[in-house]
Amino acid sequence: MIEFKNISKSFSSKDILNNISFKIKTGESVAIIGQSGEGKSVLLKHFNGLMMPDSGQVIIDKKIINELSFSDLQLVRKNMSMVFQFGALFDSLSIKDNILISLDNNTSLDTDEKEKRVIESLDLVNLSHIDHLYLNDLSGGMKKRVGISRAISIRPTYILYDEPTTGLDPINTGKIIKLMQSIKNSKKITSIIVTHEMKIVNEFVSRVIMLKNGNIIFDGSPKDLNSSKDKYIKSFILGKE
Amino acid sequence: MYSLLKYPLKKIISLFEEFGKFIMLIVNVFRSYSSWPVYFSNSIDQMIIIGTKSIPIVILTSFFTGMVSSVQAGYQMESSITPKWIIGSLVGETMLLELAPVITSLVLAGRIGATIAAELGTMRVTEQIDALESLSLDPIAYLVFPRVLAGFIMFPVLIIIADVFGISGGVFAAATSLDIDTYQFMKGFKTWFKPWDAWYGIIKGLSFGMAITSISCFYGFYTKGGAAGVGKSTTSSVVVSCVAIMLLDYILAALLL
Repeated sequence: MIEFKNISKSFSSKDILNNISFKIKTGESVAIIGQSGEGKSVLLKHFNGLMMPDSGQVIIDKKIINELSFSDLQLVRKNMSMVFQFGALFDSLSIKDNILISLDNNTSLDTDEKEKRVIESLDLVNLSHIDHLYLNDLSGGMKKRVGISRAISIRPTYILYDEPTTGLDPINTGKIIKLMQSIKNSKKITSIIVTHEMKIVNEFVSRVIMLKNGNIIFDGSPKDLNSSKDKYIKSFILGKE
Repeated sequence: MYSLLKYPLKKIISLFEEFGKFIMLIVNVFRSYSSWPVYFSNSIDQMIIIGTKSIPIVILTSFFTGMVSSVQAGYQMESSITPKWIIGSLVGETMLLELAPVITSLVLAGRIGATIAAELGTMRVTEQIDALESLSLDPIAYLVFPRVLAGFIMFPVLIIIADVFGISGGVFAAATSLDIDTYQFMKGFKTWFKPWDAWYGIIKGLSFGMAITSISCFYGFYTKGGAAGVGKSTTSSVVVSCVAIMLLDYILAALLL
């Protein structure tokens, strides 16, 4: 269970998040949408403490994460993975080592179990045959898949996706959505996705939170979003001014 | 009047803010001591990058510095009343006390400082540092500690190499340009040599190594923006490291000599 209580955040006197509150139940899939610069990624980084609010509380499994010590926060992060917009994979490491670094730090598996887990995680994204390659040898879509593979390898309870399909062609976008779908169904993971992609909203999530000027202007199902009469929401969905 | 003062005041405040942030980074390096054994292998890699791979440039610069100081000392001591061996004393002392540590560190501020700042800066703007944090790793222990430790250990080694090759350069130039043989040069060198002078150079190496690596890590770690931000951090790290070397050089001279 995740709860955001009156979260506010500003940068250089510009308000990005303005007294935001919501709850996310375990197992729920939630999309955070809004125009560029509305603070979606900033909001997402509050879930795992990569950013801390100026005021308010972020509560995850009854722990107020913005009041935790660094070591306690690290314990919370062991149950929470993040897929970054451009992968954020370590270019000095091979694909396999990118996943191993996550397992080394977040699990107590022995060497053989870790090797097995790497193969399992890469199998899920159909990349186990190229685990020895480095990032320079991969396409954008492959990097995203490795990022997802790294995220799921630790068997998290929560998974955060920051624009997982940005920069991908429609075929790769479809592959990523299918992959996210299969992870959600098989592992019962709570998924929070920052996206502009209406395909993700319509096919993947059960709930949508829309941000504008640092406030939540919509919180409901994708069906309700699509049938909204609000001019701003309509223009966002249709991609027209 | 207010607007005239506003800009310099803002600059002074941001300078203090940056210094505070730098101190906090150093404090956090020490605070992460429990993770140090885990990341010690990273330090070995960094020792190779910072130390072993810098040896050729250190040899080259120190050898030529020794040669130049020998030729210049010969030019200034042309009088027939000064004994020729005095060149060995002058070159030896200047190399040990000043030229080997300072020139080596200035060169390494460019080589090592720029590499560290660009590497960490790129990791910051491509969210790799955020990724480390999200994977429950301590990015300061993982990225900053190994580099600072490697600088602390390897700089004194590089200074010793610079001392040896600087003096060798002096001997070579004295023999080829000034007609002073190795025996005379070394006689002069031994006459004024005090072991403390060599230790002083090594102490300088320790301090300069710490300064260069920590400053570069600071600028890289807190890079903002994209490619332009990385460029800015790299430039700042080299400039500030060079200024810090000069400042520390004076402080150490005033305190230890």
